[in-house]
Amino acid sequence: MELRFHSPYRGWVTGLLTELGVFFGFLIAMALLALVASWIA
Amino acid sequence: MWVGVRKRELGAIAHYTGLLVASLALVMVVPLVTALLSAEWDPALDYACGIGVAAAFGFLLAQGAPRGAHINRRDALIVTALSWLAGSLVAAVPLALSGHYGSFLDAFFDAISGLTTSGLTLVQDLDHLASAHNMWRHLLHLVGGQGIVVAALSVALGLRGGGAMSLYIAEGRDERIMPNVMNTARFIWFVTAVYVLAGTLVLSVVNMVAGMEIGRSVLHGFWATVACYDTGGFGPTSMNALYYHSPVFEIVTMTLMLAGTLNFNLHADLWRGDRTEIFKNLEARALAINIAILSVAVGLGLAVAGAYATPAEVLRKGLYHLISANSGTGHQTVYASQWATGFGGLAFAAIILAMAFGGMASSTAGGIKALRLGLIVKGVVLRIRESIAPGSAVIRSTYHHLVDVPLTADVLANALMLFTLYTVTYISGAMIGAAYGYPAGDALFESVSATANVGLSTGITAPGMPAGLKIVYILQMWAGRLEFIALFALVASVFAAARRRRAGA
Amino acid sequence: MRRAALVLAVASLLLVAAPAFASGAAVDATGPELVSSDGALDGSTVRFTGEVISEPLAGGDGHVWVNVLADGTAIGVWTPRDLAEGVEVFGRYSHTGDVVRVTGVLNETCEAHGGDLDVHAQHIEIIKRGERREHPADWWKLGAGLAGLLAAYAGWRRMRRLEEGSLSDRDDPRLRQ
Repeated sequence: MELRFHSPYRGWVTGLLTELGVFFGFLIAMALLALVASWIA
Repeated sequence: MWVGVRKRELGAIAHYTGLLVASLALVMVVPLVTALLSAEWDPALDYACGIGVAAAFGFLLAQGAPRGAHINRRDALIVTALSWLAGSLVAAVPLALSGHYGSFLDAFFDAISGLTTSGLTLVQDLDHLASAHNMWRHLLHLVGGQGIVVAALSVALGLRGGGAMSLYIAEGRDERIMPNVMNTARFIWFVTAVYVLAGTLVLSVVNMVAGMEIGRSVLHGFWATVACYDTGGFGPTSMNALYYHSPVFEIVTMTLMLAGTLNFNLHADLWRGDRTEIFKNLEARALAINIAILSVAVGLGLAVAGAYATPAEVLRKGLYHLISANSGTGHQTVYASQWATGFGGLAFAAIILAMAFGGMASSTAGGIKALRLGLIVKGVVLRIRESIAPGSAVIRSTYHHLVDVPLTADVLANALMLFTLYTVTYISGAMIGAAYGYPAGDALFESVSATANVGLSTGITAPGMPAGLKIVYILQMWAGRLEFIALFALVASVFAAARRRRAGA
Repeated sequence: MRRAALVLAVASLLLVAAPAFASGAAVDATGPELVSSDGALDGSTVRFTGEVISEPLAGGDGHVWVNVLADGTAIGVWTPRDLAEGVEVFGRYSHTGDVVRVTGVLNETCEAHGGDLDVHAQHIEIIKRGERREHPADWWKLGAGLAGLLAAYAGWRRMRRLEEGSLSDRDDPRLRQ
């Protein structure tokens, strides 16, 4: 809970990099899902 | 005595609407400068005229009440509903003067499509449109995506008063990220600035490597970034994202679309260093599961239909449009006519569902929103658990959205109501489109695209479409962006006023 | 003598026929026809005319992309770099681009390019050189804008005056925040 009152400005670089990591990971996972689905069909 | 109070309320509504409209005059300075730097003299005059009209109209309305006048919650809803219309009216002026629109209605359509971050467009000869006008169209995404109220707060046009929070809530952004409104607005702009700068930088390099000269690279990079991060969908050329013929461009823009569909609260949590929230959050989970299921559907559908069956095609046509649809962006790399011929039934339906569901709340995405879908699924599970439990048992359910929240009947009812409102609007728009003679599938696709502020198009949206249907889509984009409630408040107040007048007469 | 006549006849026949062979297989089409043939033109050699609206963009493998606006619909043309060398002006606000006649193979869902609809060019002919576009300035717009700004200033002044005048109103609880 304490975390919510920390300043989000200081950690913006790590925050941005974390987000980019999550997005890329997600895109790769979705790409694999779609490819597996099209391969099965 | 109530006559005086009524009048004063009306004055306050006009005052705040006027200030929000006048703030657009300040934003128009950006395309004006763009025009002057690009030596586009006639477009510069379009914005000189636009600034005058916006300022005059805004300050005329602002006469209604003194600065800092009190505004109650219902009136804030009305201000918001009206501001989007009045703002679009003013924003359409320079576009209409550009000579690239068939009528003022067409320019108004583009203005509201831009502000609601939809991306449907009626522009003509887009490939010869001035940089200034392209700048304005994309800035509308930026202003509308962050919220007109947030935008106005940032320029601090006398909105520090008690009305600010009510206005902010009325815009369908009901969560406080920071202790107060000004801090919240500032944080939203900070995240936006970081993403827009990073995206513009990367896409400028991508464009330069592809062979564009530096000025055009940066402009195209900025526009594409804004259009994706604000989940808008406008593009500076008639080919939209297909213009670049670049898988790298598509990957970068898909990432920006995902960033744009992330709840600002999640941005705030991640940037505070809390990395677990995004995995625990009900909304993030709901969106991930939603996209995962639809990815499978798109993959299956494209393989069965056969036209886009190679792995590269499944990714660059299937996944790209799925992300574009689910985030509410609407960037497109197929021709409108190819939706029907290339995608086949299942993938086409999956794209419609992706548009209808939409991204996260408190982001720039449109549609029903993942949070509500997650809540509804949880509600269904709760009901099933209740029905099989012994009569004396008390079954409770909680969900995690920033903090653990009990799933109450109120929360569930609200989610279900908005789900119903969106669905009814989707279908009504489709029926109107079909009544105008368009194929039912295309009409549904376009109706969902307008209401969920997406912007993918099967080609119905074109300068030559019936004026009635243009107005229907305008209403759908407006209602969808405001999540209906502000709009209903406006309509109900007008009816109430009319009834009171009749009773008084 | 007879042999010479025969050679001449064959040669002239070839000369006459050669252009026909080169373009006979190509189907003339408009931009909208190219994107909505629904398979009818897929894989066939097509010929269309339009305005170049992009600088040559990297296409890999010694090729570039040139986007051509044909009858209101823009088509991506994938062409060997040397075929596109004659293209000098591309269309944008300031210029009308070169008008070119492109002959090439239409791929509705090009497997080499991630399913993009494109034309793989075999021949590009420049029909008309691009030129500057004239945009006469409408100065009345400036007048309207200045008039609007003046009106806005007057409105702002009036609001300031009202505010000062209503200071005594501050006792009214409805005006308090």
